[in-house]
Amino acid sequence: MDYTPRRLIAMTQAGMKDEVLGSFSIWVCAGCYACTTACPKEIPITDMMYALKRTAIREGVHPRRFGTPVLAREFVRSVDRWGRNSESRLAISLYLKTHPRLLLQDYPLAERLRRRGRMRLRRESIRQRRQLRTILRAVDAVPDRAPTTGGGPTAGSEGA
Amino acid sequence: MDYAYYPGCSLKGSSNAYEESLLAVFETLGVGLDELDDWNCCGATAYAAVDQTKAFAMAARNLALAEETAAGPGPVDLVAPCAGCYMTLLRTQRYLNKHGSVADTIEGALEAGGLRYDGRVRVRHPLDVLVNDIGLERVADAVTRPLHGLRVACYYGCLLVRPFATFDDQHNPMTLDRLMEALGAEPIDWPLKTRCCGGSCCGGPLVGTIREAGLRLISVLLQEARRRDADILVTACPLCQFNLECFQKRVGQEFGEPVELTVGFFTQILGLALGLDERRLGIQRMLRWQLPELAPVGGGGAHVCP
Repeated sequence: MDYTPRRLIAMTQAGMKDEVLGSFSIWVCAGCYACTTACPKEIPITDMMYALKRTAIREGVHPRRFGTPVLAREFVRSVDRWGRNSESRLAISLYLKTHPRLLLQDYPLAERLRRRGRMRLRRESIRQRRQLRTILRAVDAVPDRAPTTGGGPTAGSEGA
Repeated sequence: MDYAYYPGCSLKGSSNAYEESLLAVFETLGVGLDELDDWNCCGATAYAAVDQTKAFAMAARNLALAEETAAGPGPVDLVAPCAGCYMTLLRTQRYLNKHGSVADTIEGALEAGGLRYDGRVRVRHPLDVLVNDIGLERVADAVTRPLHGLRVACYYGCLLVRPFATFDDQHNPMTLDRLMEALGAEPIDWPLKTRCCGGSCCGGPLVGTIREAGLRLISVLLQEARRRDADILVTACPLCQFNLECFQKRVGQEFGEPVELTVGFFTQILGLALGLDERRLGIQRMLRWQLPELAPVGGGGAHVCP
C-alpha cells in the first residue's frame, strides 16, 4: 500500500488526481469494509475506494496487465451478456489477459477441482437475457448520469 | 416454513458442496428453500468497481423477482447463502432506501424490463435463519451425532457481518460459535473471525490479481487457527472457502511453513451432526478433509441455554 486511506482522502481533497488514481492502494483494497465499520465518523471509506477504482478504470489509469481492473471489466462484460458468471471461463480469460504463464503453474489445481466436479466450462446463462439487457440499457439512458460514479456515499453502521 | 432461495453463481460452480449441504440440512430440519426462477448474478463486488448504478440494477432484478413469488403486502424472505451475494443485495437495498435518485433510476430501469420492486424483500443469511427462525434448541434436538471434542475455528469473513447485516455483531460475531456449540463442537477462541481472507486479492477461482498480498492474509489466518489447535476452519463464504483451501500448498512454498487445515462450509459440519451421509454434504468434493474420529450416529445434541 503506497498511501494510507487517510492520506488518499487528503490527497483527493487537495486535487492530486494523478497521484490518487495512479496509486496502488486503491487496488489493494479488498473491499472488506473493516475500515468503514471501525470509523467513528462513519466515513464510507470502502465505497470511496470503489469510486476511485471506477474513476481509474474509466480514465484508463492503471498498470497494464494488472489483474483487478481486468477482472472487473471481464466480469461485467460476461454478466451483462449472459446474466450469470461462468467462473472457469472468467478465470481463463483473466489468465490470458494478465499472466498466461500462471495458467500452466495452476493447471494441476484446476485439474483436481475438475475431478471433484467443482470446475466446469459450461456457459451459465439466464433465460430472460433480453429483459436484463433492457434494464441495463435503461440505466445507461438516464440523462446526466455520471456513468461510473454511482449514487454517493452511504453510512455503514446503522441498520439496513 | 418456506423461503425463497437465491443461490448465486458460486454455489452452482466451485462451491456446489455449499449448496448440496445447505439443501440437505434445511430439508432435514423441515425448512423449504425454493430457488428463485431465472435469478441473475448479483453483480458481486466486481461490478461496483465498474458501474455502481448498473450493479444495483443487477441486484434489484433479483429483488423484484423474489417479490413476485409472494402475493400480498407482507414481507418476502430471500435466503442468500453466499456472503458476497448477501452483502451485495443488502447494499443495494441500503442505497435504494437512502438515495432517492438511485431509487428513481432503478425503478425506471426495472419498469422498462416489465418488473417492479416495492421494497418488501428481507434478505436473510441461512445462519440468521438457523439461529433466529429455526432456533438453536430445535437444531440441537435434531442432532444425532454430537461433535464432542471437535475444535472448530469459526470464520465469518468480511461480508457476512459487515457492514449492513444486523443479525450479529460486526466486530465480535457469535452466532456461528453458538451454532457449533449446539452441535456439541468446541468453537475455539480466536481474534481473526472477521479478518479478510484476501479472496479478492487472489481473485477467487484460481487467478491472482495481487497474489502476494492474498497469500499473506491466507497464511495469517491458517497459522493462527492451527496454533490454537483447530481441527477445521468453517466458513459461510464461497470465496473464503476456495481461497483458504486451494492455496495452502502455495502459501507453504511462499512462507516456508506448511499450513494444512481442513476448510469447510458450516453447513457441512451441521450436516454431519445431523447424521447425514458425507456424499449428501459434498464432502468428497473437498481437496482436504481430515477430522478426528467422530462419535457414531445415535447420540444426543448438546443442551442449549436459550
